[in-house]
Amino acid sequence: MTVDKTTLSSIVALPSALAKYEQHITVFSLPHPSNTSSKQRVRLMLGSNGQLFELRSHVFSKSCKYNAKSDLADDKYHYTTDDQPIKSVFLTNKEDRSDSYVIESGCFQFAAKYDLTFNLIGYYHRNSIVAEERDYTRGTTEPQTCGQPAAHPPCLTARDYHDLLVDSHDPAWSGVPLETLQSHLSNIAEPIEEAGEIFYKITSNKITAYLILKVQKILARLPKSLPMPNNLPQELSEALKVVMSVNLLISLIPKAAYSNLVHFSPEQQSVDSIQLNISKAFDTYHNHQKSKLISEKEQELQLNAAMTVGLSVNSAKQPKKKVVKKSAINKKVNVASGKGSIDGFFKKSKQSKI
Amino acid sequence: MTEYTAHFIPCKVRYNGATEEFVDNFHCDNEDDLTLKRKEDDSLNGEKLCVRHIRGRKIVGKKFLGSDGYQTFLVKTGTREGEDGETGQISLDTTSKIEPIAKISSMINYERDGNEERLLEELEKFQQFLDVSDVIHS
Amino acid sequence: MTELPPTIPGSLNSLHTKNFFSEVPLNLDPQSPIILGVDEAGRGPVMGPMVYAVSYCTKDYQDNILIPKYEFDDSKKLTDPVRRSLFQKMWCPLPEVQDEPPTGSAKRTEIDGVGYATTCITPVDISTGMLRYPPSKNYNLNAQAHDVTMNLIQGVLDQGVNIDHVYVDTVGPPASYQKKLEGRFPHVKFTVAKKADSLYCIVSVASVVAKVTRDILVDSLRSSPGEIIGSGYPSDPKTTAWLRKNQSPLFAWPKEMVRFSWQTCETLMNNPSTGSIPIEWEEQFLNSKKNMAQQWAAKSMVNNEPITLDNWFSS
Repeated sequence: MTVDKTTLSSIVALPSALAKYEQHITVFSLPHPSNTSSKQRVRLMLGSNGQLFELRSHVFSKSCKYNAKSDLADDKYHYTTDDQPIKSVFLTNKEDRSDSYVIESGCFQFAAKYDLTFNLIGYYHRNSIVAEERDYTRGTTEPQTCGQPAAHPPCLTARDYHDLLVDSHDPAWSGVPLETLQSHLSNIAEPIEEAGEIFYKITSNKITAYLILKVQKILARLPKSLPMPNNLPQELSEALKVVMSVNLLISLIPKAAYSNLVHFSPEQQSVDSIQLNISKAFDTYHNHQKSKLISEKEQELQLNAAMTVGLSVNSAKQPKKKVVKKSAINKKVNVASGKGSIDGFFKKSKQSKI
Repeated sequence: MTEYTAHFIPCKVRYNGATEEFVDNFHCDNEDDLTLKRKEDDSLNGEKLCVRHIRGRKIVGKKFLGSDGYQTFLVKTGTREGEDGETGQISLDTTSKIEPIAKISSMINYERDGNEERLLEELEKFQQFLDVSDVIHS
Repeated sequence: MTELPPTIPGSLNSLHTKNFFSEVPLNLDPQSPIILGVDEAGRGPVMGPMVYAVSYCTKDYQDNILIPKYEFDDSKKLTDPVRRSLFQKMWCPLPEVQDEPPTGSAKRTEIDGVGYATTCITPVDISTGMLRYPPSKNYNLNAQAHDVTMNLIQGVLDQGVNIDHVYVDTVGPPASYQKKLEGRFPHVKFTVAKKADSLYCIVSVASVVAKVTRDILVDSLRSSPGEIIGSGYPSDPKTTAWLRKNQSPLFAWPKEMVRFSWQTCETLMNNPSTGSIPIEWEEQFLNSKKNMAQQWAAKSMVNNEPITLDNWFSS
């Protein structure tokens, strides 16, 4: 094994489904499913049974993007002058420690299960493009703000969809086996059987229904690190959990799909008998945010008022004092010019008062 | 295939390459319990961490990606020219093959003695990502 | 001397700090108050352990036996053979006693009225304590020394020794240290003084125990009998020559020998001419421009972004 400056080596953790193919794992990439222009393409690998995995990079001793600024301000994290996390790697051979290596970079890569349906959703909403994740919640999330809906073919077989994706979306779709594509298409498309062939038509409703299932799954396993305020009323707490679960998906879906999800209400839209009222959860959350903001502003006003009362006495007197001092300085300077050592004494005392 | 342990250490070593210095250094300190320390500095609540030393600094580490059915490899990703120098990421634009050159039998992330909170917090969060990602993509 | 003093074996080849407590002398006269001296050896050197020793006896034993019969003094004023001989008289059983049938825990040494105890703080423990992160969690040398001293005193008390007065040699400010000790041991009188090893015989005894113990441990660090490592003080050219000769690019020196927290080491590791591989540590970047910039901006920093998979779990 050689690890030197000319050969680039990388540490890659693979699930056992991939590891058995250790000698011939192909990595290909597709456009990012969220259509967020600041994001790089997703790097994918194909495992047994057509299961796809995403190759992701990670480095420890570095803040997450969300906390990056506050962690710097709190002195929680520091980086080198070339902006690298303070992390490197030692590789030690258990059997022969004289065969060990140093790798300056502290990064590693790992493969995580990947659902190709997100890329099909990305293709369906291909006109819904934003620059950054924060654009999802900036201003309004009304569907009309998410770009013109793209034109869609009425019904296509999986093979025709495959050709369409390769030709009109990205040539790398050719790396996805037809069977894999077919199984993911059926997640968000109405299958119509005709003349012994199955045709697929992706619909917005099916996409929303599929995403709600994802939201429900996230809700059941909501990561504990998410900052959930304590002591919230039950209804608000439940609403916030739904909002957080939906927002986590921002990283995987276009704004249009997010917008549809945020406005989903089982009362208005009947989708596969789903009861989760996302729209109501967002309303509850937003109303709480608004009232919190109002009470914070009121508190701020009260505080300002209290401080102004305290300051008004001093602020009225201060300008007068300053005027007096200024004239005094001038006088002293004039007098001091011919007074020898005592001059220094007066100067000092004047300065210390200023 | 040769097996290595990957130690993710809390310092930046400005060097890439082989060394024989590990023969006499960087062994696991199994007697760390005997270290002279203040009672209040024993903040791990009995959690057993791997302790090693680099240039007089004590580092504490914990294994990760060991119990999730992961197998780790050191792979050749091409030459430095045109690649991302820091991350060594596999190219995004073209189809490429992963070419393992060695097995990594375990991965241990370390932080400095005194900074254990960051170690546990980051590893916990990384595991949370694996869990939620598995839920979303299954 | 072929046999080693009992303060040595536990600390030989030990990465970490070890204690040794001698048995309590059998003939501690209950009518005479017990005095205890504390001293250290090896605080300044960049190599080897720092040894803390306590020794104790009755005031009568000090005044009537130790002072008139033996030349205990500041260990630095005594030669190495004298120091070793004096300590040997404290721990080495008398020849005629060796042939007698065992008498349980009884010890018969020439100086049989003095008990002693040591703590050998290893270079690893000194360095790791002083180089923790964040720096606010550092365990500095003074704190290590104070804690070790108090543990030694407590250890002797736990052996059932009714200590009346403790005399401590200190390099730091005596008053605050004395107050700290009196707070911890309210029933014991304390005298904390600089150069106490020259002023109080019982402290001189402790200084001899500490110095001999450290010297033997430093000798044991040599990889060959002829290896010249000097006194271990950074000012000793022999020591600095050893440091330069034995510095390796990555790990620098054996952690069992060298106190990396000494500036001498830091300077050599930062000197490119030594062939040292540069290693950057997080404390070097405290108060960096990046952090300061965010601290200035902190007031206006209300994060209203939604939390997403990418921004919460990726960097």
